[in-house]
Formats: sequence, C-alpha cells, structure tokens
Amino acid sequence: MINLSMLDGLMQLNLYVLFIILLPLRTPQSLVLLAGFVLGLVMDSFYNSPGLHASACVLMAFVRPSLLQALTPREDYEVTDRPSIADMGLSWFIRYAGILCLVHSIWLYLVERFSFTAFGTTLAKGFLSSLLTLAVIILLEYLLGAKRKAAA
Amino acid sequence: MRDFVRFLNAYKHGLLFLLLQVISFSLLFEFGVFQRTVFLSSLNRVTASIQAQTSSWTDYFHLDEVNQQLRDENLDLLQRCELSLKDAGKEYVFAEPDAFYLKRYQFQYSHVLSSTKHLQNNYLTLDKGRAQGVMPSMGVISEMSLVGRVERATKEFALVVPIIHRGFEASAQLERSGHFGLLSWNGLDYRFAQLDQIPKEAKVQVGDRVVTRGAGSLFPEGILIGTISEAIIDEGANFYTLQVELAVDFSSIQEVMLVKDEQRVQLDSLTVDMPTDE
Repeated sequence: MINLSMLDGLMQLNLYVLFIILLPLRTPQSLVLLAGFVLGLVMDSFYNSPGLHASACVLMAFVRPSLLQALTPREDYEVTDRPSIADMGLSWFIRYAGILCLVHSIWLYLVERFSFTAFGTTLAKGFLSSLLTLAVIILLEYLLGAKRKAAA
Repeated sequence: MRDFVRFLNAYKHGLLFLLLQVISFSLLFEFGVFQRTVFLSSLNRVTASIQAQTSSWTDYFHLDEVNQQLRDENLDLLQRCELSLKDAGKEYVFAEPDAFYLKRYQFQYSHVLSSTKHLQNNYLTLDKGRAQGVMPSMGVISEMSLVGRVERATKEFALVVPIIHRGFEASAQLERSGHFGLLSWNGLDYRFAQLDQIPKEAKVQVGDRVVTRGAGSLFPEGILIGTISEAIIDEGANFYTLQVELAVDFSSIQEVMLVKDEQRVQLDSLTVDMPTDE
C-alpha cells in the first residue's frame, strides 16, 4: 500500500476520509455511519489493524450531522447543496472538513497508541496529520471538485 | 414496550454509533482470534493482489537499492565463509563449519510486497507462503540483520511481525559480554528499539553490538540486531535503560531472507508440559 508520511511519521496523510466528507448533505445518518464503518474496515485490512480505522471513521460519521447543523449557513442549506467549496464557500469547507479530519486523526492516533506515554507526540501526530489531510483535500477540491452551479 | 421502541427510535443513531464502536473495539482487541480468519488481514486475496501489483510498479524505483543490498549481503556471507574456515574461537560466527549447524538452518529469499514503519504495529507482507514452505514463527532477516518473525502464512503470502511492532519481543544479548535481556519496541522511532533486563554490572558502552541469543529457537544465535546508541542507568536502578540503533533500515526494506529451523519441533517438544511459571 502506498504510504504517505512526512516528518518521520509525525505528519501522515489519511486521504480516504474524503469519502465521508463528500457524502451528500442529506445522506441518512445510518448510512453515513455504516459507510464510515465499512470504509474504516477496508483501510484496516490494508494496515492489519482490525477495528482501528473503523472506529475513527465511525466517530467521524457520528459527529458529522451535529457539525453540519452547527455550521448551517444563515439562509439554511439549499436542497441542491453539496459539501463542496463551490457550493458552500472556502470558509465553510475549511471548518467542516477541518473539524472532521481533526476528530478522525486525533481519535485514530490516540486509539492506535492506546497509552498516555508520549501523549504529546500522539496529539501532535493527530493534529499535524489532520492539517496535511485537510490541505490535500482542499487542493483536490480546487483541482477536481464540484464546479459552481449555474446561476439560478 | 411501546416506550422502549420509541426510545430506540429516538436514539437510533447514537445506538448504531455505539454498536459500531463496540464492534470496532472488539476487532481491535481480539486480533488474536482473527488469526484464523484471514478475512480482514492484508493476506486477503484482494488486498494482497493489489499490494502485489502496486509493489511491481514501485519496485522498479528500488532496483538500485536492492542490487546494492544483495551485493553487500553476498560479500558479508562470503567473508563469513572465509572466517568459518579458520578456527573462529568464541566469536559469534553465523555459519560455523559444523555439519550439525549447517544442517539446522535453511534459508530462502523473499520479496517484501508491502511494509509500514510509522504505525504502532507495523507489518511486512512477503511473496512466499505455505506453498514455498513458509510457516509461522520462522525468523526473517535482511542483510544478515534481524527483521522479525513470520506471524502467519497463506498459500502464497506471509505476514511478518517486525521488530517495529509493539507486540514484538526477542531474547537478545550483548555480543561482547554475553549478558542477555529482552528486546522490544516502544513505538516512538522506527530506527531504535529498547533492550531491557541488562544488569548494571554489564558495563555497556555506546557502540556495543547487540545480537540474537538463539534461545527460544526463533532466530539463530548471533544475528545482528543493532548497536547500543544510549546506555543509561537511572538513579538507584539495578538495570540499564538501553536504546539500540537497529541494523535494519525499515524505511527501505525490499528483500528479506526467511530462516527455517529444522530442529524447532524437537526443541519445542522438550519444554512441552513443563511448568515455567506458577
């Protein structure tokens, strides 16, 4: 499996979370939870860590609706909105994807380490990895993401 | 009953979340049981074949390294042969001119299909499996230095638990003095492992070589593990806190050698049914 990490493993890329982030806004929560679980399990099968990524993705999926609610724009979400920079703007997207990545990364590395020794390093790993993942996600959004809708 | 159903309905997402987390953590904790079900492991046909394919693309970029490593290893082996023809005395010579020894260990090259180094539990996937005679608990070395042990094997692939795995332990000794202890990894840096239980009388110095002890017959005796990079005795402690700089570079591991101990079964049968702890 191609593995991307910098700074001696302190900053790792977990691009697969893109799948959860880009799920349509109106996806039923049960589906988001299950999708997260399955996605996590697939990643676990590559890393030989049954349950680890599954747990992190499920947590991420669980947090998503509350987060979406908290980030509701002034005029509420439109029916055709997609969680993309084109529809929701960069600021919204950074907060949305950033928080999801952060929750995922921090939980992932905490559970992976499963101990409070080197706690600072573990937290730093979570924080830096979520930054890297967010940066690449935003880059991909700009290069390949949904295009602005035609004016109504 | 209706209230219960209403409760379930109201909190269905929270309950589903908890259920999925419980399943995730059960998987996490019961990995041992999963050994028999290869389903989620990297040995699953799909993931293994994807890794084999990816590896065949990325391997091209490592050809130079592999060549150099093979050349170094050949040189090392040739030199040891030379050495073994003389009377080597008490040195930890790997291949002694002894029919008993030569018959005991069989070696086999294998290619690394995938490896990680930044996780808490890193694994290597190899392209040899049961069909080639690979069995769990076989030792794995690279360039005459310790890599790890085979955890399990399917027909065509094998999973290796390397030194850089929180669950790895090996009996190791200081080459110079023979003091032995337990080698393990604390999960912080893939270049360094930790050696415990060496008493303070051992007079350890930075640069001392650490080799396998051979007891427990997982690895032949005398395989280089690394060199001491830090030797500290805490106030009032009776043992050293030792850091070992690993001889194997886990950031560029491509070819390994599997070690089969022909006498393992015999040795294991000696300790069957004998109490070791009470």
